[in-house]
Amino acid sequence: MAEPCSACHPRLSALLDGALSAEDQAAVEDHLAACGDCSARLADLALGSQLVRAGLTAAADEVDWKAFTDRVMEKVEPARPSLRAWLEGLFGALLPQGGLGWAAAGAVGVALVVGVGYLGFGRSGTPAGAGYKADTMAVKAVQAEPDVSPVVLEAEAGGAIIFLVDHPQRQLDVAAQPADAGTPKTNEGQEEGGDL
Amino acid sequence: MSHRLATALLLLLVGTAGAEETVRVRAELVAVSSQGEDVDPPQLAVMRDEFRKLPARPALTSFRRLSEKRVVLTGQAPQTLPLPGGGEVRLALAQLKDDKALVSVEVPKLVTSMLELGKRGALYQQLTRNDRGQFVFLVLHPD
Repeated sequence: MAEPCSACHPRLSALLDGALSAEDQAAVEDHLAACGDCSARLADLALGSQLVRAGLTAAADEVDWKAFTDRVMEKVEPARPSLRAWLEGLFGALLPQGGLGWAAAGAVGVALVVGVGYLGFGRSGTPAGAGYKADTMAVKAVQAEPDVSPVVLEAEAGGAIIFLVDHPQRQLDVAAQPADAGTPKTNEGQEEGGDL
Repeated sequence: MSHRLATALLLLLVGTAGAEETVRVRAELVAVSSQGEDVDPPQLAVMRDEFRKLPARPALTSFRRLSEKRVVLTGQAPQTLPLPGGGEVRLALAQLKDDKALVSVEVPKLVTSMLELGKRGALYQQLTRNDRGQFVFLVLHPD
């Protein structure tokens, strides 16, 4: 016996697995040929290995693998497209690939948002555009030529009406007195004697 | 292609953001007369009802729309609307402060008014002298 049993035991399992080098395998086999104890131990290991393998195979055969596969597949959700993939699908026909294509796609999106807001809120039937904070339309000031008098009246539905009352005689008077020609007439009341 | 498209869109965005202040109004020119009882289109019945309450003699009974236009007013060049028989009326944004707009309406050699826009109502302004019972009025509506 070339080597002691203590050196042979750790290599018995490797011998069964065929994992020993040719040199080690020859040394172990030499020892086994002369050592009944180690040969018996090797036989026990081989038997145990066969039982374990047989048991695993039998257990695996009892599992319903189709049901397992079905359960796994039920839990696999279809992959949701990423934002990038979604935009590629949306603009892919219009835009080229690459970084600038993405910049253009983003600009299109922003332009749409701004454009819809600009048109939607600024041009709707209900006055929502700039300059309409006041409740009703109103006249703030009126200046007219000297021969007409502005008359401002409130409209019942809101707003106002501006009439111009002619004063042909005043025109003649003004021509005679040019110093009064520039006097504005602002929101004057209706004057008697004028023709609407 | 992508360069040009992206540049154009960015310029559009910048242009929109930096646009000058504007206001919109709906402007009608209406021929008003004391002869006949036309109301054309029927929407002018509102104007007729307003004028019916006035102490004008003779009463103004005929209302015919000559034109209608949505105009965008800025503080720059005025918008002009031609008047029948010559002349024009000029509309411009005189002031926009605290979201309140003052609009100037000018008929050269006749009248200039300063009007404040509001959410409701309408402004009726006589634009022409009395021509044998015939007048032209400007009607400004919120838009």
